[in-house]
Amino acid sequence: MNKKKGFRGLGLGVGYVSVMMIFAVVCLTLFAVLSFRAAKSNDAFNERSGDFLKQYYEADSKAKEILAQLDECANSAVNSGFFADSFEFSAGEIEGVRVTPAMGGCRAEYNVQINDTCELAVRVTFKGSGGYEIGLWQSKSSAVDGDDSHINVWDGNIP
Amino acid sequence: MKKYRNKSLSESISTIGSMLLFMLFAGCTLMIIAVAAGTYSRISDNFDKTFGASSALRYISNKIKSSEKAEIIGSGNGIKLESGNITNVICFYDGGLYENSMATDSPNDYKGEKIFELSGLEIASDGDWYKITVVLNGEESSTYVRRGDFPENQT
Amino acid sequence: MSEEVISLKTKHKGSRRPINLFFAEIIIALLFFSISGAVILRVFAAADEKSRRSARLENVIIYAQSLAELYSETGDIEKCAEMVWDKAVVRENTPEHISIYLPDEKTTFDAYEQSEKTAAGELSELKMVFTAEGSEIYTLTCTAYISGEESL
Repeated sequence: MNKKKGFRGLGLGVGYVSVMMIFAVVCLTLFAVLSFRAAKSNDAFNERSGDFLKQYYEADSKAKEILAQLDECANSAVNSGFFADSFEFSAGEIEGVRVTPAMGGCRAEYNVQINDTCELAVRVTFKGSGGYEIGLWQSKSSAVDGDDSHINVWDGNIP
Repeated sequence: MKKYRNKSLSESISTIGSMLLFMLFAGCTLMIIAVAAGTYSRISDNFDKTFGASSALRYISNKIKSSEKAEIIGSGNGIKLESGNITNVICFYDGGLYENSMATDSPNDYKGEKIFELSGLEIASDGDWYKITVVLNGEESSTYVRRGDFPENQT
Repeated sequence: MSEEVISLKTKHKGSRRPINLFFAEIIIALLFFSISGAVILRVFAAADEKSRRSARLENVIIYAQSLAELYSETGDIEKCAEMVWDKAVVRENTPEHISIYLPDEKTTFDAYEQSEKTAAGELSELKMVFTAEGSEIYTLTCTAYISGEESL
């Protein structure tokens, strides 16, 4: 009788395996979900920076195309003999290009949109003797000065 | 009497067998949990590594692209970037990448805020480009960026 | 006599019941564990695949940026590839297409070049395609403009 009780008290009761299994499944699910989340956020982060790079070089390509057109204009302006007038007239026809006279030539400025928040600003000086010099090839925020994006903070005056 | 002895023997064998089976189950379960934890830690480490090295590279190159004038400082472990009237100094110091933004004409020795954990940074001028090399956990990664110091901006 | 036999049988049955229940439980637990394990394993596999893909994409983005920056100034993809990878194996090299095995030996880089001569110079477009295990990972297009005197 006592022996029998002894066997029953060895720990082979019903429920231990279920508890163990539930613990294991909970742990595994937790690790799996955390791993998936980490991998997904990492992937999304890389995807976003990859997309930004694509947008940047798309804008860069457009800027290069405009530069090629401007160089063509400058080339024909040099050949015409009236560089400044000829260049200002032909370059002014290219959309988004602003031409201003500069020392020994003309300065062309234009912006190409990279995405909703930034743009590529380009400034190139074309010399009357031929050739050009890039003065600016810079990506910058496209937020307009005076844009209503400031935070209203207390200015220190008691009303 | 003999019957009872046989019965108790079979019961004890059965109990020991079940215990062994249970222990095997428990051992396998713990092993599977350990493997899962290892996989999670590997994926998580990979994320941390990615965020460190390549983000630092992209950050510095984007900063160079958005600056009007760039100048390597120190022995190549930092770069000074000017844009409008703001000067940004990005440099490697004491196991981290620090950035300090200030007005161009204000003298400032403050090293700035730590933005990335790194083991090393080297910025070298290579023809028309800057070669940026970042070291993290013994792994080196580098990228090239066009130099932003155009003739018009040089003083 | 018959009552004694019945009582023995009952006792016999009663003592084996917990063992039988234990086996039944372990079988049900294993069954459930294998089903949930299969689902969890799939999640792990997906996470691992995403993580590998992400690590590869991260490397490739850095390469693509370097190549694009170098190409924008030189317009020469061979020179750019040499500067970026010292020990890359060139698979194919024609004027319009260059194919390279990256140092990790799992990723392939293909570059397709198109050039257009203008009156003042040469405008070239480069399409970079990075492929791994038969699928495209990343594509980037960049342009180089080399003006007349330099392009000659």
